[in-house]
Amino acid sequence: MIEFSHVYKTYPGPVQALKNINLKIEKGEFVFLTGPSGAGKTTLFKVMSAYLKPSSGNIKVAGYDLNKIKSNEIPFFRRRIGVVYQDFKLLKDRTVYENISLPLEIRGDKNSYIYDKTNDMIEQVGLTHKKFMFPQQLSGGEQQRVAIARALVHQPGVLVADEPTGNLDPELSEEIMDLLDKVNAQGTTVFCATHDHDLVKRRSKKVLDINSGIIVEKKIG
Amino acid sequence: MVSSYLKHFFRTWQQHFSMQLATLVVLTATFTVIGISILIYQNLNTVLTQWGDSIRMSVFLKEENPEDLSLIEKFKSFSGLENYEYISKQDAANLFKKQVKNYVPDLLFNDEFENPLPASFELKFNKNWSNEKVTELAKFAQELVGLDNVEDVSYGQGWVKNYATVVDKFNKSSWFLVLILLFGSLFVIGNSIRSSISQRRDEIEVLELIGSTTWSIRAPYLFEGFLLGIISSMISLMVTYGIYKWQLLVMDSGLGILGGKHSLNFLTVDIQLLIILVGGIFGLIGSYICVAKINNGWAADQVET
Repeated sequence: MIEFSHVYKTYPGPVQALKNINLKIEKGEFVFLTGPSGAGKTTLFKVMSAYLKPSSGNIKVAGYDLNKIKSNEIPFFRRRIGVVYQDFKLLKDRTVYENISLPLEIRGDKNSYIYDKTNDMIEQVGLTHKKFMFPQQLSGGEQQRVAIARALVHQPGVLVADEPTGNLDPELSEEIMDLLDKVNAQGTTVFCATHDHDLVKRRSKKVLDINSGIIVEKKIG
Repeated sequence: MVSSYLKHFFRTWQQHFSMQLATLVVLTATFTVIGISILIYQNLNTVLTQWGDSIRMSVFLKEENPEDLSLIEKFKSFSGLENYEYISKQDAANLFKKQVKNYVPDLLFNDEFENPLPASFELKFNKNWSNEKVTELAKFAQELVGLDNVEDVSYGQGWVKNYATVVDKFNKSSWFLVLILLFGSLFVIGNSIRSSISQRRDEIEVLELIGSTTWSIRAPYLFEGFLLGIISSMISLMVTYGIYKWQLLVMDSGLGILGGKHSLNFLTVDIQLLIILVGGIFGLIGSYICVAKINNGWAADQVET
């Protein structure tokens, strides 16, 4: 499902953000990516979601070979994955419903399907009573649930979550992790970055540790 | 789709009301100046057409000859000729006497009056006059003067030529002005869209990340520019109409110089539609110049808008 082979990413400077990354995540797996701030987690996710081009190496995600992908194919590749960000990246001037339905609208689905699917997703993340509220009217945990719902509403094969609990208190973090577990149980591959080792320890998942752009440790929790 | 673009448009107005209003005012002013220029152009030509109806050409002859075939053939060769009439020396004298009878009443009965007036042909022309036609008329007059039996030609050359020159110069300068204003409108719309894009950079990033194609991101901004152009050109037509009505009132009160309100017409429906269309197209082009910078895929994070 996700495969990195000798991937390097160098920023101007030069700063080597990723060094010889090799990893393979199978369909339906739940994998944590841990590491301190600046270790390369976000760069790895950006490269994986075709937001940044790797300096070298091969990447395959959700059936797309990102080395061969054309610019005009990238939006269609992104519709096959779901991405959750630490800062939520919600549209402030749109309601919960409008934020969550966005991927379906972009895909050009029928209004009736969008309505049903969005409401179903809102129910799954427990925000039915707040679906007409704007992000500023929600707590951090609720905003993150909206972001997760938006990443999942179009039923992607892969969910990439970059520090989804980074801005949340422990209780809310657990709540979000439970939600990701639930998604994974339904067959979605989940790749989740976090620097919260305690949170990782409490869950029995595969863990990849990245430091200074190098995956230095692989362990099964 | 259009409804989501309209939502985008109204959202931009809600969030950046003062910027949008300023853009609309500047664009409206621009299109109003364009509308007024076209209005003046149209009416100058109308006046020329109407005055053309009163243009007569007198072809004075050296010798009396009402059936001068070569001359008559020459008259007929001019496409704008409506009819011609021969005026003999005696007719000319009688006409002259009638015209001056109030000033020299004795002249009517003066048998010793020695007639100095030549025989002539009076030519009347069609109503549809344009600047080009005036040039043709001048050329035609010159050709007539060169003929054997023609002494002189008179058709009010002075005012016709002067008026035609004024119309011509106005046409050229107003087209230049219109072009400058249209290009200016591109920048005004472009700046508004650029500002809109810049303030919505986060939204664009999110749309890119969840799989919007470049064109689906650009489309609402193109629509925004198009609609701004359409709305401002429509308002400008209303303003132009207001100015036109006010001008008629001014003329009614005796300040007009072009012969009363009935000689002035508002822009034709075709021209009004054309102005609205041009507004929309320039809005579209102005916004396209900016949205063309929105990229997707690998280049998305390197773009500055």
